[in-house]
Amino acid sequence: MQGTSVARKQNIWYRINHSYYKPEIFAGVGLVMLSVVLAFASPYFLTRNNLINLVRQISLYAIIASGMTFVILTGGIDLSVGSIVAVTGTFTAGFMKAGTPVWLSVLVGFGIAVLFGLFNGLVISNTRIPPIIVTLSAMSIGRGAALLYSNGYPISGLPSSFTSWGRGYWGPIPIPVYVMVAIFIIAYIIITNTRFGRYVYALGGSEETVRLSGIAVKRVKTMVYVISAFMAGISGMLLASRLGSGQPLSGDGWELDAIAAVVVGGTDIAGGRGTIIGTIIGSFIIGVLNNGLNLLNVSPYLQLVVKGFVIVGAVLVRAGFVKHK
Amino acid sequence: MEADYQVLIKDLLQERAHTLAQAQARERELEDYYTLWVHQVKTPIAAARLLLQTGAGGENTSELELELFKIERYVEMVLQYLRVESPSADLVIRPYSLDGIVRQAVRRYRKRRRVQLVKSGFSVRKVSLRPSSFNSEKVVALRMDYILEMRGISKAFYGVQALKDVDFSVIRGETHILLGENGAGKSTLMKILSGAYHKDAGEIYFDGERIEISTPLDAQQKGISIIYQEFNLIPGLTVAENIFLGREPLKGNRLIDWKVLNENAKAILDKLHANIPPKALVATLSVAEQQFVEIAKALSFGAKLIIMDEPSATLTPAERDRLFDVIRDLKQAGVSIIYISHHLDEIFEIGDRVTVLRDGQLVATDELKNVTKDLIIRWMVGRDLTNTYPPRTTKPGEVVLEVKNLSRRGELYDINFQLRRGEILGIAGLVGSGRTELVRALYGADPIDSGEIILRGRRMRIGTPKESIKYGIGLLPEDRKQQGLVLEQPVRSNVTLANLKRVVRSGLIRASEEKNAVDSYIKNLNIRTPGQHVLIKNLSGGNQQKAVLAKWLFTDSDILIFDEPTRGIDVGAKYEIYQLMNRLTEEGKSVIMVSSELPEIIGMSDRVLVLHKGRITGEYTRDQFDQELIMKNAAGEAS
Repeated sequence: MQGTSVARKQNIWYRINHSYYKPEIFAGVGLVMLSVVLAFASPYFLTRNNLINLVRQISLYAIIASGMTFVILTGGIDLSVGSIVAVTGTFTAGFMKAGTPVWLSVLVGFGIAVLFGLFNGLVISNTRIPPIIVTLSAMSIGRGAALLYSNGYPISGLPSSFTSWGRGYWGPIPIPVYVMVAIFIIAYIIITNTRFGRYVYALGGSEETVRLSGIAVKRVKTMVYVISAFMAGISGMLLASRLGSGQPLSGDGWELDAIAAVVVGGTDIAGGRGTIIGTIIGSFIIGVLNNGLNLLNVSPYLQLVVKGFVIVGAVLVRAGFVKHK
Repeated sequence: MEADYQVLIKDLLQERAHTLAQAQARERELEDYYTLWVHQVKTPIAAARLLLQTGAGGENTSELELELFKIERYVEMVLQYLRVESPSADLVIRPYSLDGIVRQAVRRYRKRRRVQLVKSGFSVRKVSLRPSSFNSEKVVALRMDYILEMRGISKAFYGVQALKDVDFSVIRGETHILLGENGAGKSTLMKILSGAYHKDAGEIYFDGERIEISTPLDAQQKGISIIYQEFNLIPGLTVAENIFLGREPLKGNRLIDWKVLNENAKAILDKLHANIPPKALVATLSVAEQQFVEIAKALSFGAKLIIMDEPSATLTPAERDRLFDVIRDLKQAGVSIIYISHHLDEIFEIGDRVTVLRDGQLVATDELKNVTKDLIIRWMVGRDLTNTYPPRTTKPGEVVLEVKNLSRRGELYDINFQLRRGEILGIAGLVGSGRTELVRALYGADPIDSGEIILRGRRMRIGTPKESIKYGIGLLPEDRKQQGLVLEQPVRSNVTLANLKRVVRSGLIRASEEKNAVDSYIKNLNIRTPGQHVLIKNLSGGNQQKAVLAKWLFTDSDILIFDEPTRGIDVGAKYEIYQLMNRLTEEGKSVIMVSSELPEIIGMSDRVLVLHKGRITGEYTRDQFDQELIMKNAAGEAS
């Protein structure tokens, strides 16, 4: 008996099965499998151009997903990030167009993003309104504000000192990818190595325990929505910079991609469990899926359908493997 | 009493035929040995005679007669052997055939040549010996008219044995009291019976048939209903809707027939002599009335057995009397009741028989008229109370905390008390007396309306947990899992959660410092865990409690509030927690302990405050402790 139990412990399946990172491992395996399938299905998939294009596409909502991870870990959700992308982009573009210095316009853009985050966070932590309702309102407010400000038209003709960020490369890699990597590193450190990160996890596990441990629950809660909104702001800024214009309809549906990336990456939608590594993997899964379906000439309408099923499937597989009795 | 005996001749003959077949195969063995289970000794001979009488009409009378003669002799011999001088009424003899277990026991007997007392406890003894005059191959099943028999029930949760081989039976039309300390296994047993849990082993016979209970609904349909302490009623629906929830009478197969629904509900309520309008919203009813609705609901399922979990805990004396009347009516109607209670006084008023469980095992079943309160307590506790608790050695020092005129509307009124250095202050009271509310208010978990708290001579305003922690107060909450721990987090993060800044340098948590700190607490408090990275939900209740304690020691708390310190913790770990409390006080810390277990309060406290309806109704120091007095204060009966 003794011998067999030791043997079982050394077995890789046993170890995966009992690992804290099981969902992430499954997501990672899923990503590799998806990539292998696509590599065979489309000769274009593994080309350099496509891969660079792929990471650039991913970077924009992966940045949002990293902020979303904080929110979902506390047991909340943020539906307003897509609208914040638009609102940041249009306001920044508008200010630049009006002759405001680039740096000040960018600052204004971020300021607006943070305001949205504060709105979400303060309302959620001080009232009993559920996050999904509050951020749904913010989503509507944001989109409306962007449309109002821009009159519904894209604001284009932005200075190259701004657009070079979204379009430029350092070496062979697009700049937004560097931004994404930097953000993931910072997010990883915050989430694993700071008090705030601990509180985020604990809050998702048991809010009352956290409160009775003397931790300022409201501040932590507010903070995660501010982070989420700020990340959406960065993403919106990069998008406006790459497009060379502030588009009031940009970022539409990105909140769903971001949430999908977090959830597919193994984070529990109820909070308290998940990792930033998982979110990276999840972002890549969503990105590779989008990219692959494009390469295979699948109609964009059908793509949405496929994506929906993949998300449910991924979570279902995870739930099936994680919940053992 | 004899009229209660019933012989299941059919069973008897069937089993006998079976054994006969075996007998031919192993004649020699069968001639040699027999094994008896003597199961709560009552007049065996009377029972055997009755078997004879009842079977008199059948074809096998003479055979039976012969057999019973042998049984009589055998039983006499067994009783002699056990030195039971005068076996009182109610004996059940259950001889078993020679299958594996029995043969093993016989072999053991051959070796040791003495009676094997296999089962612990008071009334169940497994006897195997050589009956010289009883070498028949017959097997006899002789029993009372049991509505319910549970045999050999076992259940384990995550490796913890909650029930071990428990036998439990209820006679038709009796009120059977089920007793045991918290964690003794009574709720587990009842949850198995009501379908909420599944047994690991054992058999359940209900109304003469062997049954498997798969779900609560299944249990209800079979005639077993349970009424939990916190009712299962939907406040927003009417009485009638609640009674027939999911089984509403229909009109034309689609629409609810409201008229019939309300009439049916009224009919059942009238049977209970409960004056509750069927159309009243449940939310508007008193606790007692809600209880009647629950009983009505059980009856509407045609319940033959109703389990009541501490039904009187929240009732006024008058309401309780009403409940007892209803229970007596139900008995008249042949409904059996399993009554779980902690109030040892009332059980003599209402109960017929009593079963006591301890540490997941059956201790005893007996008629209440044969037992005393002291005996029951001894059964429940299993040893002298003094051995359950480590002795208190520290002398309380100077006052460290003083509470003055603390009030919180609707919960606490004008609370005044002091806490001394090195003291354990017990807070006793019934459910709803405000014990938990008091410590929560003190800790700042809930806001107070008025009053002041003076800590080491300095007035402080406790408003939030954060401030309390700063002042060195720590709360180990009643609901450990939801309020004391983050279950999905490792031991390490749980211990350091409240004072992370101790291991943070320039904004980042220093993993090695944190690990060392947590390691020292794991060692110091003897927290048994495979490692500090293990999720805390995988630890046992006792070790989880120690982890919560570690959390407060890590924040340098010196006033520790334990709310139900040993709830859901097994006996061994309980003792450890008590020892830790003693050690803390020796180190000059002070402890406030809220507990619903009076023995715990008396065993551990230096001083006791008794609460009733949010007011302090009594205060006693250790030399004045008196269980009855405290109970009276808690019930608001004493002046």
